[in-house]
Amino acid sequence: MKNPTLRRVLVVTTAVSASLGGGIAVAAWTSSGSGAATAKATTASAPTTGTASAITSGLLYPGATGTAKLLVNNPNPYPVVVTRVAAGTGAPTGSGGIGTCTTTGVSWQVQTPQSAVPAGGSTTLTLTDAVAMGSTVDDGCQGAVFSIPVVVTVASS
Amino acid sequence: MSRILLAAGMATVACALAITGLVAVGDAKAEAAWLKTGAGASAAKAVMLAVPGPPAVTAKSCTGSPYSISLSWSYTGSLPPQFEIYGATNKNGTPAIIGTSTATAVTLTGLTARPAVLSVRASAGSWHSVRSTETDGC
Repeated sequence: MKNPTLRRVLVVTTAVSASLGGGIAVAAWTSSGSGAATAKATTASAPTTGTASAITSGLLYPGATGTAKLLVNNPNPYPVVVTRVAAGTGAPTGSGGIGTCTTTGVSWQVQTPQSAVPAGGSTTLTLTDAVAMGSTVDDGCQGAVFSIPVVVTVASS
Repeated sequence: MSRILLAAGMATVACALAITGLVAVGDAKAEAAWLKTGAGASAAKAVMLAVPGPPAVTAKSCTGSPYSISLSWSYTGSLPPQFEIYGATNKNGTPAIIGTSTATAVTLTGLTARPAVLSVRASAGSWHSVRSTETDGC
């Protein structure tokens, strides 16, 4: 190894190789080849709602806000979070009151509960002050249970 | 010697940059979340006003105006937002509101009209129950 130039080249090559010792994986990712890998994403399913348990507090009356219950079903094989519950299409309806309940005066307030629903499971949300009742309400709506159309948005978690 | 160190340093930096870039790509994948909306229905319930039990007089001062009287009554179910207490100066008189209460008992003072007959009704906004059976007052 009398040739100084050749000696320098060998030393530099050795040093660079040593410093790339931890980069073996990088070299593997950047290697090329032909072929096809396949993967399929799960199709996200829309959440559904069901019949919630009885409501015993936060009852409505004219001019007041009240509590709503919402049973959210998650048909997906992964957990989700309920990010938003907004008013849906159609008017709320009331039944089971002391008389005719056509003018309910009930409206929905947008909610952002961030509640978790397990994969393939259900969760009942209790949403305080989620509904409001106006001042013009049929007297027959006393004691009625209201069904309020909503749109539920969930996000994978 | 300095060339050797420079070459080794550049190679190390290049390796570090490559790994950093790959980590950033991995994070971006993890942040992806699916949003899905579905229509459904929520439920709420309204108060149902019951008829209060007839009031019972627990104390009274009926010797002259202003009158005062304490009374209580029963109520089944969850309490309504308010009770209205009605008084009339005689059994066939027109009852008028002489006080309100959020509980099932109240003491009314400073009454200028003699509360000869008393009754109570539940109230929730514009909703009212039927008045209770009347009770003798002063």
